[in-house]
Amino acid sequence: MIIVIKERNAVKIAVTAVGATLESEMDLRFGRAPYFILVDSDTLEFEAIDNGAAAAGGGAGIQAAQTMIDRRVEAVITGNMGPNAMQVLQSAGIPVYAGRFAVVKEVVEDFKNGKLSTLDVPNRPAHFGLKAGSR
Amino acid sequence: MKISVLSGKGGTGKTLVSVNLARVGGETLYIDCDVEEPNGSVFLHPKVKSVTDVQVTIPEPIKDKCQGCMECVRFCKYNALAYANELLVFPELCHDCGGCIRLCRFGALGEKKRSIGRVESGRAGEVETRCGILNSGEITGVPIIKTLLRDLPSDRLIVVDCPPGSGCSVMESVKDSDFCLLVAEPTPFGLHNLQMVYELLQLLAVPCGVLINKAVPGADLVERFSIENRIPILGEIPFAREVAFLSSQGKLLVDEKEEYRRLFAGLLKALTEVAHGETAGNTER
Repeated sequence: MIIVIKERNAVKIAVTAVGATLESEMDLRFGRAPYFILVDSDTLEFEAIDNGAAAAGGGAGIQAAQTMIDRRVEAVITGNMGPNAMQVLQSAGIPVYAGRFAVVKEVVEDFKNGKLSTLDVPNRPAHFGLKAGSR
Repeated sequence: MKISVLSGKGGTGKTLVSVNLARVGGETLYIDCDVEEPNGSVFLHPKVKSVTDVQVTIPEPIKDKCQGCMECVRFCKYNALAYANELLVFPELCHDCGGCIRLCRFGALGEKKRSIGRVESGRAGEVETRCGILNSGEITGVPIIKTLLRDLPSDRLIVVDCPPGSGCSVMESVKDSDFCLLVAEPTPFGLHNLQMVYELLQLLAVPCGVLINKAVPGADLVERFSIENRIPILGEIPFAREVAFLSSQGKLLVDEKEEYRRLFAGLLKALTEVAHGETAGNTER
């Protein structure tokens, strides 16, 4: 008898979100997004993390990036990212993907279908998420 | 005597009042603590005699000693450290508290000096000047303010031109002041900001008085607040086109018109009397 063990390619993805569910809209900000939705790309099981860094005086992106590392996230999907957060994630080897204005579930679907491109350079200056016009 | 001039809100007239007070006081020391936007020299035109570089100490990771325990990362409340396969330092977020360096059990954090701005000392006629300048992009001007307020003379009036707001840099600026002059506009916004700085000074237990700037007959918001809270009103500057015009030319009101010289001389006299009264009151207590 041959037992076939199905290879599991699941990736633990973090999507920045305005709410705490898969139906919440993606937040374009990284460090100051209210929630991170950690999703298993295979099973779509998810966990919502309240972003404590959202209210930080400074360095919200750095703190949020550290959270990604501590939570062993394997890919981050967001709208904008500044140089500090990008440096932390790059040092940790965590790829960042540019999402779109849609709900978390759809963004994850896009990711699985290879529709998202990576963000390799910061597309916003530091402290951008602090400004009112960040969205 | 050390007087700090402050207001919760920017553009209320702190610098206008500070430079004119310093000039009318004769041999005084004017200190520009508004290090993010220092503009006292626009009015005083001092001759700069010396420049002091202001440096802070930031941590420098020693790679082969770091064990990746992340104690320092958790300790830093300013998010200046992160650990991503190696310890990363974000110098512009570091507040120079030194905590991480002391905390590290492995001696994996060394010290490194970093310049964040400078202090220019000079003279404008009888007025001695110190102006703090923070490099753009820096997160805190407090180390520059500390440098500005070090080694103060005791033989003359010191006028401290504070930063706007009621945060750390304002607290640092008014520390050890004998008296605070609160400049306020008679508008709802002006009143709100006055309330904020007034509350701060209550906490710091520094005596204060109010100067109403851009005063308009009938606009009595600030006046009512001051009377209710028994804050002495030490004078008012009229809402006049001429004041704005002379300021836009980088001129000192007291040099241009006798009327303004009298206004500021009167303010200085009232201020000195009230401040001395407060000091006497404090000793009695």
